[in-house]
Amino acid sequence: MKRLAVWLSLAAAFACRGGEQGELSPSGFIGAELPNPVPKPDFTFTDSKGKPFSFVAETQGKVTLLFFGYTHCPDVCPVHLANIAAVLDKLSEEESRDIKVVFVTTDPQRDSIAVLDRWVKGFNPTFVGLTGSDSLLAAAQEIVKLLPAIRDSVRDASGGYAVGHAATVIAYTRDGAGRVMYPFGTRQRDWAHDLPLLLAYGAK
Amino acid sequence: MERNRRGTLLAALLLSACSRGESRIGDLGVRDVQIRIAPAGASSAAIYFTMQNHGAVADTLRRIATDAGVVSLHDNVSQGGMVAMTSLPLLPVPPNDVVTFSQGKRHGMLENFSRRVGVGDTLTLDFDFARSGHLRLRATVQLITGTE
Repeated sequence: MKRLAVWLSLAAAFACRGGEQGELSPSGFIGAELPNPVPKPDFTFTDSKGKPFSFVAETQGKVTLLFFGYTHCPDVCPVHLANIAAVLDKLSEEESRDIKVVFVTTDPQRDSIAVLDRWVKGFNPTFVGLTGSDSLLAAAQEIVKLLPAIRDSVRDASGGYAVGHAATVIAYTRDGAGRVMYPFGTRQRDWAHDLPLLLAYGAK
Repeated sequence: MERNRRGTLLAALLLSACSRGESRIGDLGVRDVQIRIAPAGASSAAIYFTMQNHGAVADTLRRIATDAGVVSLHDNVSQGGMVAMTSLPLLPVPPNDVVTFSQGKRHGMLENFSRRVGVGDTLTLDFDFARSGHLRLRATVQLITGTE
């Protein structure tokens, strides 16, 4: 009976995967590898203590996962972060120490430093939540070759507003190059496959 | 006798499985209701569910109400790596059809909490259908765990 259940769940998992058993990128990533890697944006954000956070200096030598979103986001943002957090928990301490997850808000009005910090650290205490001025945040998204966040002009029933944002996580390898993009829908098994490759990228 | 008892037991089991799976009002069924929330400091929660119209007449989900806050219905529209939520004011449920709200797609957004909304709290949701009427059901708030 137990064996049957295992087979059934395996069959279901296989069926769900369907035809999306995709090809790997030239370097073997499941994520979308950029043909022309982008440099790390040289921006100084504001961290959870209100101190300047130089993106380049603070993430030097680490695999860095950069993601834009907002804490009021009910669905896409927390799912992305929960997936990354779940996989980091399974890596060795040595590996996870060398991966920096940086969440930059696209909603600085509602995401005060205190709100942002509590929310981000709920997923993993090593995650970093950053904010900045509207112009800095827009420019940061521009630099990573994505459209700047556009606030939804339509207010919802409760008077709140939805915030458009890049739903893609940008992964920088240790050399500081943004090489691989992870769209929403990237699962824990995909991260588990790619994170060790990102850590090893360029190592002799 | 033994067989009869087994039959009764099986029927009871199936019945309880059904009532747990789907709640009905008229031809409208709602099942697999999940309320998902971030681990800390959340100001919103996602509501996922599946609606099925078992009848031959179209119906419309007008709104979902709860005393725990305000619920709005959204769809995620993505374009070129960007995603934006768009409001769904009224949601048609065509005859003999299934409409699903799921992670990263259509979802309910609970916000403006009027009381504590955290993992383990049970909320009552009132699904307001234009034709079939109100369907009230309870769901327990769970942690967002993502996709394995």
